[in-house]
Amino acid sequence: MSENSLKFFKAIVILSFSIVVGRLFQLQFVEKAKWLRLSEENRVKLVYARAPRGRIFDCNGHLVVSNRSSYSLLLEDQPDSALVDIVADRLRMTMRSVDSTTRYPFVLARDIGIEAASYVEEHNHELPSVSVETRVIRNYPHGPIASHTLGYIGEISELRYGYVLGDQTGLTGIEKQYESYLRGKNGVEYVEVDAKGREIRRLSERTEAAVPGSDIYLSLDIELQSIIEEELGQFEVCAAVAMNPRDGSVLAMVSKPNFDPNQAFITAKSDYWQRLIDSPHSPLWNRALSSGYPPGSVFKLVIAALALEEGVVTERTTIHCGGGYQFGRRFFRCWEVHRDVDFREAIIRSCDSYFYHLGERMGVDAIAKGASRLGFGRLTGVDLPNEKAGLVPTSEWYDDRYGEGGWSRGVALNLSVGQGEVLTTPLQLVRFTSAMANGGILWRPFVVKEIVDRSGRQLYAGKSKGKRIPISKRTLRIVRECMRDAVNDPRGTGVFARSQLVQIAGKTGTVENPSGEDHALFCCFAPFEEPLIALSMIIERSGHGGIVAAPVAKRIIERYLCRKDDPEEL
Amino acid sequence: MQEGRPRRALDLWVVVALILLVILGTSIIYSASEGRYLKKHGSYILVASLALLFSYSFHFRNFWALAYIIWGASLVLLVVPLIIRTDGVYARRWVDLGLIRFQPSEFAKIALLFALARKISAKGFNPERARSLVAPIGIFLIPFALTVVEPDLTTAFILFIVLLGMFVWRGVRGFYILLFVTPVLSMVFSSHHLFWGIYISSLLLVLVLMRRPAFQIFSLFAVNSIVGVLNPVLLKDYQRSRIIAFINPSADPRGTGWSILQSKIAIGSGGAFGKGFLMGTQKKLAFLPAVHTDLAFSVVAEELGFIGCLVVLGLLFVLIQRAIAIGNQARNPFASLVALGAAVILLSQTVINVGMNLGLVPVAGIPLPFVSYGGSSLCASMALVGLLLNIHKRRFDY
Repeated sequence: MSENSLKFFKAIVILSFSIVVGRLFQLQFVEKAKWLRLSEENRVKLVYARAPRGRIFDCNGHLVVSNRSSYSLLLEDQPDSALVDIVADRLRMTMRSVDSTTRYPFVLARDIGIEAASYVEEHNHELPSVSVETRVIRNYPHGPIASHTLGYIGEISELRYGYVLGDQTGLTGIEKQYESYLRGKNGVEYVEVDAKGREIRRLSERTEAAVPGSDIYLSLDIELQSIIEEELGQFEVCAAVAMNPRDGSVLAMVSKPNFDPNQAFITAKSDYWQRLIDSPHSPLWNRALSSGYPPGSVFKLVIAALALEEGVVTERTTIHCGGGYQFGRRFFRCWEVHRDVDFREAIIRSCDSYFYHLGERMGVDAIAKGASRLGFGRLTGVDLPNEKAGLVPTSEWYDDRYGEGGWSRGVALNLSVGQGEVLTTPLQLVRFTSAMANGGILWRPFVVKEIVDRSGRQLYAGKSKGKRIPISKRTLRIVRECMRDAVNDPRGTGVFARSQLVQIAGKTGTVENPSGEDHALFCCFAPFEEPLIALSMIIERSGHGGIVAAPVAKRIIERYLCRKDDPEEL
Repeated sequence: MQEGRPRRALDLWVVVALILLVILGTSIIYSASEGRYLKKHGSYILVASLALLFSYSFHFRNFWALAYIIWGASLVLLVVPLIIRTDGVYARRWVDLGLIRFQPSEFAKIALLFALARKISAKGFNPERARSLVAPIGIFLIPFALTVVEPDLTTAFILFIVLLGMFVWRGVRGFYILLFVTPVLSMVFSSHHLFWGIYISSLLLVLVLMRRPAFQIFSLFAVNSIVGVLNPVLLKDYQRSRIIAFINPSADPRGTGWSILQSKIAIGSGGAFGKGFLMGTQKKLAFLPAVHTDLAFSVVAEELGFIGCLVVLGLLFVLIQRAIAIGNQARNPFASLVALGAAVILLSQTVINVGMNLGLVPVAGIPLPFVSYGGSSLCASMALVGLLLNIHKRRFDY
């Protein structure tokens, strides 16, 4: 460390600081008057212009989400005694009541409609301190139809990059998933104001126009969606997903109870909202992809395909069902006495004993491994938020849960009839059903077909992405035929789904519910030869899948494929 | 300097300056963000104090021993944001560990400090010989290249200054140093062909007047030309536009020139005593996009005036002077170089940041040590101070 370099560094430091302080002196003393004037002139206010949110269309171009103006009636300060009654009388509306604790401005009525709004504007002078506030709100013309998929929006709760206070953002569903496309870009205008906030001039050279959000085209068919919601109308808690087995696009996704996003949005924190929150059935919850259900006998298709593929059984393996199956000291009951059943008959008539036998021979881990390859216990990767993976338990899982050796190998028997710990989402079930229908391609489901900005430029295209399941063509053919016969053979459990108009193939399921009536399941696809639709359906606390769910599925498929709008014609 | 006095273990100048700077910084962040970031800043101070204690407590020999490992770790961290992309403004400069997010380039500065100090203080290092410079340059080039790619040119520039400072400190020959410095200048100036022409001609003129040997002039000219020609490849558009906007602010009134102008208005209108704490009018305008981070100094100048600026600058001056003095006193050459490097980092960050606020250097995303809001930067600055205190306490150790 020579003396020279020490001096050099000290000199550099002093020089740098001198330059900085000198410049500071120049700005703050020599040129102070100029900068002070500029700063006085420079009180600029930013006026934001909210960008209209992108619209959403279904696969046939029907508008399913748009924007509209909403008018609220505001009371700006303490009214004369009878004013509120006068307004209510003239507009023939009920108003929210005003008392001494009311804070102003106060919203007398929300979403009063254009006629009432223009009446108030016209009679402004007669109605002092009453005004109309206009804002653009989200409009869901189909109300609660497809509410879970479309989602809803709300005011941002904390400031994020690119947002200003009061901006709306998607909170669930498509509205959330594709927020960045839908929201557009706020415009901003720089307005120079004086110290008292009066406008001096607009800095038009810095004005940025609002850029409207892009439009989304869904693969969802709002007609089919309506058909399904209508057919499921009598049931309180249920879920269904329809998929196009040819490309994995989601045609409809139903979860009930549903909600009206129009109301949910306008009166957030209102009675309606509170009712949604308080409801024991969680209407905001999208059961189609966030709820895991035991698949019941539908899971027999999975076990059957795996067992046949692994050579655990052949088509000719016959087993005697005497109303159950003895495993060690435990007797696993079948729901019926089927006597001698072969492979096909076991599926068609949904014989538990047969599958207990398969379950015992395969064991927990072979079932878990195979089911996972068929898409269970893992996310499907659908382009919607809050998807759950369900559960396919492995022996490690049981070890974790009950301690090593703390569980019986008999769990495999339960799994093989879709009871017990296994959980699947309706979306996973429809994806599996599609794979059965289309010859073994497991799709990544998707809801958005394309996104187009306002100038018509395509920004995003939903792509089919699938992989082949490790099941041979031959096995698939047999399982498919069993599904066909389960519906069309008079002995089949799904016989109530048998249609004169179209050949439906499917499998029923009934999930034991320890706290009430069984859950009814049905998965199917149609037409058998050239499948156009796959459907999974679960109806909570309703009874037997073949009796409750199958006939509903049949009507949905008939109405969809035959495009008969009037159900009475069928 | 210390002779005849008791050997103090703690450098009180440094401690007092640090405490005052943190207090001032907190007040300014409170004012600039209108209270919003106060809580977070408080937690940053806590974490940064831990960083200070950490770098203070262990004997600097431990850092010597770990220098290359730390350097390697910093490289890994620099690569992470290049691979993993998240949505957000500065996505590519951040490493996200879920609970904590930090800017690896802050860590890279300190890591480079250790690795370079170890290499340059090694016995085999001969400042007269070009071959000795190869290894330190290699150690420097990897993090440098990564920060350039990120792209964080300002940090890259600071890494460069660190290398340069250490070379000068060890007495590396002037020609070699010119060989490093001039290409960087060439890169900056070549954003505009006119500027570059002036720069190259004056460089040649100076060299000829200094009667440098012909081969030196020729090699310097060649290196400068190559960098100049490569400028369009090396610099991003926004970086070039910042340089051009700095040279001529009216060329781009809606872009970066605007924030230079606005920060000058804030500073100039502050005058001698400022508009009063919390009373600044400029900071509320959305023209100042990073008013609690990179433009915090302009809030000091607007609200506390010339006096406030002198206090902030004076405190930083004390810190930097002490850092150089500590580097001079330290007997261990590694420790000496680390202290000097810390001085160089603090000085260059201060000068670049304040210079940017004053319109003296192009807009560059770099925080003012201790004053600007930002956890990573505060931790790094405090860690540097911890190292200084560490070296001061053990200045007689060899």
